[in-house]
Order: sequence, then structure tokens, then C-alpha cells
Amino acid sequence: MSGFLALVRRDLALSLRIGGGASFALVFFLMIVTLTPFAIGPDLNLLSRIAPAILWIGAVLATLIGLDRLFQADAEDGTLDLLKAGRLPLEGVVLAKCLAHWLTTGLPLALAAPLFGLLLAMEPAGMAAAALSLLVGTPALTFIGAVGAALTAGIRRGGVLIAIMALPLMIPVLIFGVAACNAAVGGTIPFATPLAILGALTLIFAVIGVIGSAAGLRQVD
Amino acid sequence: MRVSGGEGCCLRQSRMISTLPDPCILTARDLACRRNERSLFTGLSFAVSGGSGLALTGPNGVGKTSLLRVLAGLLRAEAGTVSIAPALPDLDLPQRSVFVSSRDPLKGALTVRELLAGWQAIVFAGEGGSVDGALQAFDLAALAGVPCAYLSSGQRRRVSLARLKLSSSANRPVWLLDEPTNALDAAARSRLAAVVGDHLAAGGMVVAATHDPLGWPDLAALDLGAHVAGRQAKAALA
Amino acid sequence: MTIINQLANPTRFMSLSGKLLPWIAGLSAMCFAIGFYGAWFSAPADYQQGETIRIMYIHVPAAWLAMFFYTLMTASAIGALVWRHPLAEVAQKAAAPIGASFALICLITGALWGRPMWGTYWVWDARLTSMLVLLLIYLAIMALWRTIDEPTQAGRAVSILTLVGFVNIPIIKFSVDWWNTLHQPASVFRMDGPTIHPSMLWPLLICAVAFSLFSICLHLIGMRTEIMRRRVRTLTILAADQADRTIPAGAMRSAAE
Repeated sequence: MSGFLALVRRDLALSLRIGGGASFALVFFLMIVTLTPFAIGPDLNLLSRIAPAILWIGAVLATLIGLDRLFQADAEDGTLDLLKAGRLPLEGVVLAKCLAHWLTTGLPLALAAPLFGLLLAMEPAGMAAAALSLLVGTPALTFIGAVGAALTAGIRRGGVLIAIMALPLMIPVLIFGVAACNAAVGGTIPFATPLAILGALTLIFAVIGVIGSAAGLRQVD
Repeated sequence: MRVSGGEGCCLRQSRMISTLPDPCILTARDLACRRNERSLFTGLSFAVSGGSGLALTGPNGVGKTSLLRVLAGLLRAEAGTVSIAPALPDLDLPQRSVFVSSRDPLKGALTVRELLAGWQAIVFAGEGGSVDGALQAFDLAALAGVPCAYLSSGQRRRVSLARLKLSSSANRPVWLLDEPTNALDAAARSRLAAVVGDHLAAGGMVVAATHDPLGWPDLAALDLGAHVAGRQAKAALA
Repeated sequence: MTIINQLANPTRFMSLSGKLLPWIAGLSAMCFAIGFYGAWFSAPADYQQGETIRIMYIHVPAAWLAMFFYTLMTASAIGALVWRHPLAEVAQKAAAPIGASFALICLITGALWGRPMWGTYWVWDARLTSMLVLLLIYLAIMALWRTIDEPTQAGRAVSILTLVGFVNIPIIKFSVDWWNTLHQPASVFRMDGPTIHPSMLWPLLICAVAFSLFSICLHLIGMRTEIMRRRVRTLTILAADQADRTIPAGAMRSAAE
């Protein structure tokens, strides 16, 4: 357990000291939110209607930032060999690294969502729902992305490949994330229903993602 | 110490030293390894017992690094087995050896002390080594506060090797070193020789892949190139 | 040693800026006192916008300074690329976060101002949107600074990005204006003279001077910090080398000066 926490702490320290991690994902998120109105026009009524979609697509794409280096950096410099030699099972290693990635990517995205919601003229209830749904849903994005990151850890140009592999698998999370946001500002289904499904998705992908990533990392030699 | 291999395997007798009550032995039986559709070596068997070491030599591409990775449990051999006796429950090859590859797993943003403390907490927790001991052993105390990004290649190599002292010889009796003296100056080489000497005296084992003569005592030599050539000649005859 | 040659010029800058800083800071505080007095007590409330007009005294100087610091960065980038002057790199690096902060202040005060005016915190009007894009460019430049560890290499890369951005900013501005032409026309700098009433204009100008002096203080402090950081970096590398080999002690001392 102490090894797990030490690994989380190390990864947090690395991502906070080197650029990237938290700040890059946030900036990328802000850029997507900014770009969309340029494409569809500054009509606030229209923007507020599609705001959950913009925020969620932004979050999905921003999660990919930093994911390509999640395991690749350690595979390149030999740290992965070292991690395999510890008593912490590879599943524990994956979980620790995913947790650190989420703390520096998904969590800031969720916390910044209400602020970016302002740009899209969201109602207060919608902003709260967006933040809550991102808080519950972004771990699932990290876990799915981790599988792609593990499979490309030994490949030089894995970055785009991760996006191609992970994005289709992220569709369910996107569906229920946006559904939760829409339910909060009106609609026929209660807010709790899509949110509960989103939570279930996160739990399922936590299991699949951790086992899948660990299996992927075992292939890297 | 006994080394038995296929034809052409260089064999040299050396003393048996062991301070452990229960002498360890690393045994490789009939190992075969294949990389990228190319067979590297087949039918390789040898044993290294506590207190002695093995120097792997041979030309580039003959499979020295692959053999070390097989011994470390990081690469699956195509055939054959590797075992460390006595076997311990729950601990497999990777957990009973320290493998120092030719790459330096350093993180530029961390200081030397942070890096070693991280390895100790994540990989070698409760195995009887210490960060200060590791810093001392490789003369790194003065560099403890320096970020790894600023180190020269010799210094990086020493930090890399310092992990050997983060565990104890009893916990991880097998040391697997890939070109350990690369980029090291004379002073650092003698430091490494002393650390290896202590490990052997405590009943540990060392397998090192090398191009240079290491000058360590109790070191048998296994010429992987000659082994492969011998096997090929035999196959051609048959 | 080239490292020491590079530090020679910044040394003069350090002593000069150390002497200048208190004076500029004092002058800035004085201007703030006068400007804010004018803004809060002497200037009248706007006949249309009421008391909210007073946000202007922060909003407008922040907008000017956000643009000024990008211009400063561009000049520094030319200095860094053409003359390879180490101080130019330092000036450029220190300017980015200050410019970004003023852009952010401009956006936040704009949103607060917009709430009573437009009934919502944010509308995609041309000038606010251009400022948002400027903030994004600032963030990109800061991200590039953070990613490249070696200062000279980073300085070169950021200089190129800054110049590309500078050429692009008028194009962005034109495009955004074309995209959305809802906002009231510029009201201070016009060919036929300012339309803003003098009782509001003089506090605004003094506030602008105060913010400018304040930002110059910040910039000098930022430059001094960056110079210190580079010295610490150089010394750490030297110390790492010295840990193994004995370097003449004089080299360490002259690098520290």
C-alpha cells in the first residue's frame, strides 16, 4: 500500500514539475470551448443548448492529453522494468498511475467546467450538473485511455493511435455524461438516472481498464 | 561454481564462498530465446551458486541482454526454465533479483535523493536497503540534492547502479547487470567492484553482460558467441 | 567560459533594476492613490451604465497592458533572435505571465461588467473574444516555456512562436470583428477626439499610468527572478560537476557573481 501511495506521489510530483499534465489539459479544454462558438456562431441560446455537448467533447479530447506518456515515458527509460520488479502487482502500478493522471487531468477539468460553462451561457443548474457528471465520468475516460496507453507503451509514435483506439470506447461515457447534464436542466428523465449509469461505467472501466492495461504492459519487454 | 553449457562454452573453476546458511543457486536449464523471428540461442544451461558470478561475453546481437532479461523474469524464454533455489512463496524472479539494464531510469525533474527514495518506497520497500547507504556506496552524497536532468552520463550510470544497495543480498540474491561499467571512470569502477565484492561475500550472485574485462574476483565466463557458434556447427553436422 | 560571459551583462541589469525598483513602486502607489480617488469619488456615474462604469478604470488599463506586454514580448523576441541578447530572452519570459494575468483581469472585469449590462456574464462580442484568444496565445507561449528545459533553446523556440503570433494577431482581430460586430465602437482613441467626458478621462489615464508603472515593477521583479533562477541552474550544474572533479574554486565564485 505504501508503494502504491509513493508511486501516486511520484507521478504527481513529476507532472506538476514538468509542464504538461494539469495545465496542458486545462488549456486544451479551454481552447476547444473557445473554438466551438467560432464555428457555430455567437448565438447564446444555441450555445447554452449545446453547452453540455461542447464541455463533454472538450473533456474527452483533453483527457487524451498526457495519456500517450502515461506508460511510454517509463517504458522508454527502463522505469517499467523496475516497477515490474517490485512487490506491488502491475495492476496496482496501473491504478496508481491512473489515479495520478486523473488527479492532474480529469479533476481539474471537472472543477473548471462551471467556469467554462459561463462562456457558453449555461444555467447554474447546468453548470453544477456538468461539474458533477465530469467528476463521476472522467475517471472512466482515464481508465479506457490507459488501455490504449499500455498497448502503445513500446511504440514510438503511439500518440494518435491511442486516440483512435480509445475514442470509440469512450462513446458510452459521452452519451450518459451529456444525458446527465441535459436531464438537470429539464427533460423527461430524472438527473440521477444517467448519473448512476455514469458511475457504473466508471466502476466497470476501472476493472477492465486496470486489468487490460496490466496485461498490455506485460507484453512490453 | 559450475557452468555447463553447450559446446564451446568457456568453463572456469572458481572457489565456492557462501556466508548464507542456506546457499542460493540460480539455475538456467535448456534456455532458448527468439527475438524478431531470429533465434538468438538454444539449449543454454548453466548454474551460478551463491558467492560467485558469471560474465557474459560475446559479440553484439548474440543475445546477452535478452538472456539477462530472461533471467530477470522480464522476457519469456521460448523454451527452458530459470529458477532460484531455495524458492520462496509469492516471490518470482523479478522480485528476487535486481536488474540494472543499460538504460538509466532517471527522471530529470527529481533530485537524486527523491529518485532513490521513490524507488525504495515503490519497488524495494522493507527489503533492508537504505537510500543513504546507496548514496554512500556510489559516492553520490554530494549529488543528492541535484536534479537528475543536470547529471553527466557517468553520474547517471552511478545513480542507476545505486539501486543495488536499496535491497539486501538476502532479499535479492541475484544481480543482473547489463554493461555495468559503461561510462564509468576508474574511481566509479572500483566503487562498483567493491559493492559487487560485498554482495558476493554475503552469498549473492552476479551475472554481468560485458565487453570489457571487469576485474572482479570469483567470476566465471560464459562466451555466448562461442555457445551459439557451437550449436550451429552441431546442427549443421546433424 | 561562455556561461560567465552571458551573466556579465545581466549583472549590470541586476544592480540598476535594484536601484530603480523602489522609485517606480512608489510612483505607482502614488498614481494608484490619485487615480482610484478620481475613479471612486470624483468621476461621475455614467448616465446609462450607472455605478458599474467604475469597472472601466481597471478593465481598460488591463486591456491596454495585455496588448502592451505582447508588443514587449515581440520586441524582446526580435532582440533574442537577432542579437542573441540574454536579457531579451529574460524580458520575454518574464512578460508572458504578466500579460496573461492582465488579459485574465480584463476578461474577468469584462464579465462582471457585462452581467448588469447584457444580463449575462459572457457574450461573444468581438473585443472580449479577441482578448480571450490573446489569453490562449499567452498560455501556449507559457506552455512552451515550461516544456523546454534548456533556457537558450526554449528562448529561441518561444521567440519564433511569439513572432508568428504577432503577425497573426491583426488577422485574428480582423476575423473576429468580421465574425461578430456587435460591440460599441472604440471610444477613447478616435480620429475625431475622445468621446468620453473629461471628468471620466483623467482618472482613467492616471489609472492607466498607475497600472503601467505597477506592471513595470512586476516585470522587473520577474526578470530579476528569472536571472536568479538561471544562476541557480548554472551553479547547480557546476556543483554537480564539481562533486566529481575538482574545478578551480574561482570558476564557481565568478559564476555566482
